[in-house]
Amino acid sequence: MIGALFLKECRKIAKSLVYYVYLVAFVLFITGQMSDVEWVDQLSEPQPGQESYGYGYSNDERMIMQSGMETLFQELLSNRFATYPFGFYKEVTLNEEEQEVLKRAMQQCTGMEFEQMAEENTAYWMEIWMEAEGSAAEFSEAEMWHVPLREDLTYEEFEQVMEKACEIVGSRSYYEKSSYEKRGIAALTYEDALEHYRELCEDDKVSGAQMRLFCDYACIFLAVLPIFVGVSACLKDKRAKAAELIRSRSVSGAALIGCRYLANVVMCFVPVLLCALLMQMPYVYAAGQAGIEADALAFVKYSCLWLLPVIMVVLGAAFLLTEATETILAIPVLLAWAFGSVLSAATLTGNFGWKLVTRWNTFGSYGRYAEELGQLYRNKGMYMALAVILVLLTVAVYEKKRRKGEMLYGKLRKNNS
Amino acid sequence: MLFKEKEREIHVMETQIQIKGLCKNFGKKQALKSVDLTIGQGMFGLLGPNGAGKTTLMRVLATLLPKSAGEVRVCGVPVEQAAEIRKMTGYLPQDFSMYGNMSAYEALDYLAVLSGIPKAERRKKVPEMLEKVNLLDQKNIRVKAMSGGMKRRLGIAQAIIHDPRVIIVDEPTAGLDPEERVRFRNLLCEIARERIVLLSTHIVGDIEATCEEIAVLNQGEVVFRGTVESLLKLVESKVYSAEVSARELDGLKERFIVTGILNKGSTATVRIIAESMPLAEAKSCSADVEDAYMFLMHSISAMPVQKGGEQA
Ligand SMILES: Nc1ncnc2c1ncn2[C@@H]1O[C@H](COP(=O)(O)OP(=O)(O)OP(=O)(O)O)[C@@H](O)[C@H]1O
Ligand SMILES: [Mg+2]
Repeated sequence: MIGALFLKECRKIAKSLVYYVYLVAFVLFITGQMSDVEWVDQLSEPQPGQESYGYGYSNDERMIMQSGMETLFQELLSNRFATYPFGFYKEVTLNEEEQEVLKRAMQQCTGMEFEQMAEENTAYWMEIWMEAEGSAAEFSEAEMWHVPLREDLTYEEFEQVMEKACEIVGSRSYYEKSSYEKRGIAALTYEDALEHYRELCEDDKVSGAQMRLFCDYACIFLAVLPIFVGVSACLKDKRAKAAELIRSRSVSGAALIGCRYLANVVMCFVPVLLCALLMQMPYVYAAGQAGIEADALAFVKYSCLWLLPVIMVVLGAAFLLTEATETILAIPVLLAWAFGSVLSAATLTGNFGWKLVTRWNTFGSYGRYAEELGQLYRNKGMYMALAVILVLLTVAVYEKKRRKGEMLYGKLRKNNS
Repeated sequence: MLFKEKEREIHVMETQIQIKGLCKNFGKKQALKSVDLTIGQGMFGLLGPNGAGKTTLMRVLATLLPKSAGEVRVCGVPVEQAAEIRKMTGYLPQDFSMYGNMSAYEALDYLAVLSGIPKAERRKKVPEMLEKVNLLDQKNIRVKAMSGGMKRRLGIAQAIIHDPRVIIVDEPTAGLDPEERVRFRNLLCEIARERIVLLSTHIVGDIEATCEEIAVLNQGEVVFRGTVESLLKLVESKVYSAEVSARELDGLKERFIVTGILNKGSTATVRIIAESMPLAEAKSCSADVEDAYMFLMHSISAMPVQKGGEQA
C-alpha cells in the first residue's frame, strides 16, 4: 500500500508544472556553471623544465604583497573598484582626491611614480598585443602587470596601505585582510605541480575532483529550487479543495506525509544524479585516454554525501512550514536561509562549518579537502537528522490539524455553506 | 477463526449511529445544540434550512470536526477513535473536489489507495464504481473538465469504493439531472440494505423516494425525528387547493402557508396549508413531504419557545 501511494505521489509530482520548472532551471544553471571549467591540461603529467606550471595561491608574504599591489594598481588605473556588499558585485569609483591618496601610498611601496608605472605598463601591453595579434593564449602566458616592489618593503607597511585602501573603497573589497591574505598568487614549481597531479590521479581519480566542483554549484541551486517543489506539493490539497476529503480517508498521517516526502526527495534527487552522471562521463573518458583510472562511481558518492542531505532538509523544512501555516511562508524563509548561507561564506573552498551550502569552488586540492572531510560528514549527518525531525514534526502537525478540523494557527476555516 | 466470527457478530448487531447530547461550537456560535439521534440501518434523511447544522453534524460523524460536548458512537465505536471510524465510513463532502489534472479513473484510484485497497482489488473496483455512477465511458476526462454533475457522481463513487458500513453523503443529488438523480437514488437504496446511509438534502423528492426515517434540523436543534409517514401526519387534512383571483393572493399569503401557485391568466390555483378550511371554495387534497416540511418550519418560527414540540 505504501509502495502504491509512493508511486502515485511520484506521478503527481511528475505532472506538476513546478517540477518541470525545477528540472529546466537546474539543468540550465548547472550546465551554465560547469561549462567553463578548464581541466583537460591537468590530465597530462607535468615534465621537468616546463616553461610554466600554472598558478596557485600562496601564503608567502612577498607573493601576497605582490598580488595586492598589482590589484590596487590595476583598479586605480581604471578607477573601477570591485566590492561585494551582501555578496553582490558593486562597482565603486573614487574621486580625484581619494585616488591621489592611494597613488601616493603606492608610490611609497614601489618607489616609482604612479604615472610612470602606468606608462610602462601601457607600453608593455601594447607590445604584447602587437606580437600576439590578439591571441588569448599568449596573453595568459605573459606576466600580468609590472609593479616593482621596494626591496625593503615590510609586510606591516603593506598592511597599512591595504587598510587605507579598504577604508576608502569600502568593506567587502579586495583590500580586506581576510580577502587579500588568501589571494597571493604565485607560479607553481615543478614539485607543486607534480603533487597536484598525483592528488588528482590517485586521491581524486579525476572524477572526484570534478564531482566536488559539480556539487559546489549544485548545492547552491539545491538549497533554493526544492523549496518550490515542496511548497507546491503541500499546498496541492488545499488548492484542489480536496484537503478535507483526503483527511477523511483511512490512511495514516505518517504514511501520507512520509510517502509524499519521500516521493519529493526521490523526484528531486534522481535528475541531479543523472546530471552528475552525464557530466562525469567526459572526464572518465578523457582520463581513460590519458591512461588514468577514473572513479566511475564518484557521481553517486559525492551526490549522496553532498547534495542529498541538502535536498532532504530543504524539503523537510518546506513541508513543515507549509503544513503548519498553509501559506507560502516557507518560500521567503527558506530563500533567506539559502542566500544567507551562500553569502556568509568567507571562502569558496572548504570551511564547511554547519553551513547549509557547503562550497568547494576548486578543481582538485584533495589534500585540503581530506583535512576538512570530518567536518563535512558531521555537517551532512546533522542535516539528515534534522530532515528526519522536520518530517516527524510535519506528521504531528498534519495529525493535529486532522483532529482539530481546522488550521493549526489563525482563524477557523471558512465553512462552505 | 472463532474469534473473527464473534467479532463480526458484534458488528452486525451494532449497525447504528448513536448521538447523545452532541454540541458543536464555532467560537461563540452554537452550530449544534445538544443533538440526540439514533440512526439505524438503511437510508436516513437529514433535512433543514441553510445553516441548520447538517454539514456540521456530518463532519463530526466523519471525524473531520471534533465535537464540543456529548457522545457519538458509530457502530459502537466512539468517534474519538478516528482511525477506526475512517476505515468504516465513506464521506462525500458538500463541495466535492479533487486534483484538477487527474482523470476520473486516476482520482478514484488515488482515493482508493488512501483507503488502503490493495492493487488487485482496485483494478476490479475502480471500473466497477465508475460503471455504477455512469462515468466509465468518460473515465479519462480530467476532473477540472468535468461538469458539476459529473463531479458529484465521481464523489459518490469515491464514498462507496472501499465498501464502508457507514456512508455519509452531504447533498449528493444537488446539481444532478433528473435521470442521474433517479439512478443515484436507486444506487443508494441498493447499497443501504446492509449499511447506514446518512444523506442530507434540500430536495424533498429524494426523501420521499428513498428514506424511511428522517430528521429535521433547525438552528442546530432536532425539531423532528421519525418516519416519513409521521411527518406527513402532521399536515394530514390540512392541505387545500383553491382557485383565487390575483387580487386575493397577497392577502392569502399573509394568513396561510402557501406552498404552490399556478397562474392561469387572471386566476391562480394555490396550494394552502391551514388548520381548517381556509376558503369556502377550497378543496382538501393529499399532503406531500414538502407541505409537511413547510408546515413544520412555519410552526417553529411561530412558537420558538416550544423547543422540540413536534418531536415524534
Ligand atoms: N468552520 C466554521 N466556522 C464558523 N462557523 C461555522 C463553521 N462551519 C459552520 N459554521 C456555522 O454553523 C452553522 C451550521 O452550518 P452548516 O454548514 O452545518 O449548515 P448546513 O445545514 O449544512 O447548511 P446548508 O444547507 O447551507 O449546507 C452555520 O450558521 C454556519 O455559519
Ligand atoms: Mg451543508
